[in-house]
Amino acid sequence: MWFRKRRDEDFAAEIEAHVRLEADQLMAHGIPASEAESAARRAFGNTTRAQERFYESVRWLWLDELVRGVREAVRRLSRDWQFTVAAVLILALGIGANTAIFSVVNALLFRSHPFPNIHRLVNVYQNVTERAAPAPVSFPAYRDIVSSSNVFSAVTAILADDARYQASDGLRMAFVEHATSSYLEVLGYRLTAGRWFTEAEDRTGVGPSAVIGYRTWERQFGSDFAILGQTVRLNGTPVTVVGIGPRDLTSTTHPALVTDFWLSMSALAGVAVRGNLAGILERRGDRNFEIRARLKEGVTVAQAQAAMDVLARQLAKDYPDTDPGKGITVLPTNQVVVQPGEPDAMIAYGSAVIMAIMSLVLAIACSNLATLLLVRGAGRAKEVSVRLALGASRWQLVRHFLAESILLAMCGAAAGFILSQWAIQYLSKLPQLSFDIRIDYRILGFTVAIGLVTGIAFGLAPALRATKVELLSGLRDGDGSLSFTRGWFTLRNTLLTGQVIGSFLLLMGTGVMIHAVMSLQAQELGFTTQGVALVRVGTRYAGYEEAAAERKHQELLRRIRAIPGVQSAFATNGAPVGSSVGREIEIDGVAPAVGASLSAESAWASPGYFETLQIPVLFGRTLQEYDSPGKPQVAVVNETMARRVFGSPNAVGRRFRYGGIEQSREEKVSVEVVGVVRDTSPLQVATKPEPLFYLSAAQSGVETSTLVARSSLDAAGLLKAMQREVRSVDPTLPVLQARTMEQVLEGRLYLWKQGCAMLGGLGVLALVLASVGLYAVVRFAVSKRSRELGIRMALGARGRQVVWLVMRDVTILIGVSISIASAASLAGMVLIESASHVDVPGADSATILSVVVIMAATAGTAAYFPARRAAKADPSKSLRHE
Amino acid sequence: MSTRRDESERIALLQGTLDLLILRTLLFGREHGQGIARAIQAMSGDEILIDHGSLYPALQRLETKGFVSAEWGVSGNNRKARFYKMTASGKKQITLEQKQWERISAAVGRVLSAANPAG
Repeated sequence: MWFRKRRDEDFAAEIEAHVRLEADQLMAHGIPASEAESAARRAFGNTTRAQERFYESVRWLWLDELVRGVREAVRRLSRDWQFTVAAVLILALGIGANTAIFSVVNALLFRSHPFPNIHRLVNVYQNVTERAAPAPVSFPAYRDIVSSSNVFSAVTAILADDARYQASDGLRMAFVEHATSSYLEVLGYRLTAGRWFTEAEDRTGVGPSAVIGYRTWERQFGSDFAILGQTVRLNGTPVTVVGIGPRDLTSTTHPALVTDFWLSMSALAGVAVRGNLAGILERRGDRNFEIRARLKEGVTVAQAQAAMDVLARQLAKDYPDTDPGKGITVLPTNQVVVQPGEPDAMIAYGSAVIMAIMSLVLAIACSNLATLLLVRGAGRAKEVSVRLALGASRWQLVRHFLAESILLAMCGAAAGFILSQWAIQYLSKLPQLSFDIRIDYRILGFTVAIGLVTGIAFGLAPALRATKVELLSGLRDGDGSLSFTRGWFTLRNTLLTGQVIGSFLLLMGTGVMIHAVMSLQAQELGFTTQGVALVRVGTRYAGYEEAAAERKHQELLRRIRAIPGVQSAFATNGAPVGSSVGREIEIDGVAPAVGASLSAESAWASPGYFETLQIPVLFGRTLQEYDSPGKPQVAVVNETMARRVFGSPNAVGRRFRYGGIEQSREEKVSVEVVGVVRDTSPLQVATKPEPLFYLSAAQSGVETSTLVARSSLDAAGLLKAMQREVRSVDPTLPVLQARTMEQVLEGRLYLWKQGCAMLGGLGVLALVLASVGLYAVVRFAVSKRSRELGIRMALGARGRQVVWLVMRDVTILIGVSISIASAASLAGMVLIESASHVDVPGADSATILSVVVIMAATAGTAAYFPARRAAKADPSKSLRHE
Repeated sequence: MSTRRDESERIALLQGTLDLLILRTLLFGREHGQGIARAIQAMSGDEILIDHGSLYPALQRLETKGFVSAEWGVSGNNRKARFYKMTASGKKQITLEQKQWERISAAVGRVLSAANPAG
């Protein structure tokens, strides 16, 4: 042991030397050698005792005893291996789930940006809305920041986006960041190889170039330097790879994200898929850029803020149309996770909710373990009494028990850590974007910490309880020291109630989710799915020019219409249903009230859209082929929009203007309403139809790569035929999506179903744990009362009476727990509903009732089995047993 | 095991005195355990008989505290023995403890020789 300063043998040798010296002296005084030695030993006294004292003096005795305690605990636990395996499993599940989720939360929230000298880095935001929330910056404003200020040594603008690129194994999703030439200087990195973008590439009209991210280079391109100078197709646009990114920089946007490609600003025109981004570098109204700046030597954040205030006033004066004069915010980079305000708050809030659920699971697992330890401790009352009688102090015994529970907790933590690593590996393979969820000291610390806390907090109470034994009765054989009649507010009852309540709450959450999914499925869609299928083709990724791509789409549409059985078909952009974009609108001739703006959802449709999806037309007409780009812009609105925005069911002939993503904010487009159609489901949980208008895809100039058709035959057959047509038009054309409408609708439930599965899994886990706890407690109570029950049965008690005798108290306990839990969950739902602005899926009485029934049935069964066993036992045997 | 506490209380009573005597002996130079015991016995006119079972743990304690240092060596009659030597901090300690002891024994002496305050 490292803390021992001197070895025992050395000490023994010293004592031996003493005896020799003493004997020598005695002999010098004339005592014969044969007697001298034994006389010397007698004079010394008890050498063993001296050695013992030495042993105690040079050690940290408590540590020594702990080691001994652990050794004993190992022996005890391995003897009772069934209990051990069960306990470690329970803890591993609880701790593993927590560690896995904490790893994700850690990556999202706590990991800091790796940039060198981060305290000199700031983010700069233009503020928007009434609350002056910090938001991204327009490119012209970025140029102003660069030229006007003398507070920054370098400034860069970044625009994050995603793109598909042609990899060896087909199309892959990539996370890309468009960045200016100053990027590396601001962040303070050096490339692995090649060059960064030049200033000439900070504008459109120059060939696009890319710097490949180090990890992507490693994983997708085999760390091959030959990639330099080659072209990669990003969203179909050929981009030249000019450099390989820094090894220790994954992404600017968030430390857990992995940027696959950095792209020059000149690549924006070709690669970015969002609307019309061609003029984005010139328009002041479009604010899309993240700004990172490095402070000049000696400049503080406050000074930079002051300089930006001056600039903000200047901008508000120079561009009153596009600058609302809300100001500019400078924030230290390490104070921002993704974006200040709402986005960061949402991440923190979501993480907190998930961690809360996870802590509930851990608490259930822990209290379950505590119950098991308690029962086990009560079963050892006799052993404890003997030890106490032999002179062990209570503190020693408590340590004894604690060693056991800490050992269990540490094994659980280790197993949980392994489980969590599996879960993370699974999780990080799920999304198409690569996330970087590494293990760091925080995660390890977290696991060890919850393991220790678990072991001590939930081992201490049972340990204290188990060692509080009345010596005499304990020695006689602890009778009913755990019977229910000793009062209701016992530790064990509290633990059991806690477990039942915890699992009830989790099950309730699952119930609410299932309820939401079912109500989604039961929603009246307002359109048909029968015989409808869609394919989305990647003409862009195959390198078609815009006009050629449109020709391909139209050719494909003609061929699909010719498929036998097809009654109607259309081509559109993106998902045909359930996806819409919010836009600000103005009704012609009506001045908007100050501060209030009208908004509505918008979607793209094409000729054949309403016919194919069989959405009934109430007034006017649908979109037609002659609503082409040169002609006056038209729109079809849903009935909610007609009523709410225009104030009458028939809005045909009315006009409104809209602005939004592909138009810059200053210019709104005027359209005429040509038709009113019936509402369709927004395909969201618990939301009523919103005002929605359909724009002509052709007039909006969006690509129409999604082809939808309805057949009188079945959708699956139609889908196969459509895919055949795609291959016959161009065998190299990638198919991005091929699904029947049923499958599309199924897909929108995906997240909900994942949520259901997760919560439900945890709920079932908690229920099983609670049942195990109940089972163990009742079983123990029965074994303690076996003599009493035997006598009762010998005297003629019926089996049913015995079962009731045993079950009565447990039943009351379960009943009380469930009542508390239902009240708590009802109150919680009301609270959440009143506190949040979002629609919270509620629970109906059927959901609550079924959770109550499941809970009561499971808990009751867990208690019933041991009770029944007691009733079936042969009374003569149980009487003889003692 | 429960008896240990009582014993440790008894040791605590003797502890200071024994430590002082050991340190005092070592003022004259390095010495081994048996020599220390003999020396104390001789100096006290055989009044004090050192319990060897306490002597070595006490030496160990002093060594741990850094008041003495120890090393194996050879005694005058050619026996291997562990020799103890006083360290600088041990010298400081003995002046301190000696003063304290004198104060205590003087105080105890005053109490024992005092007349009945009530009478």
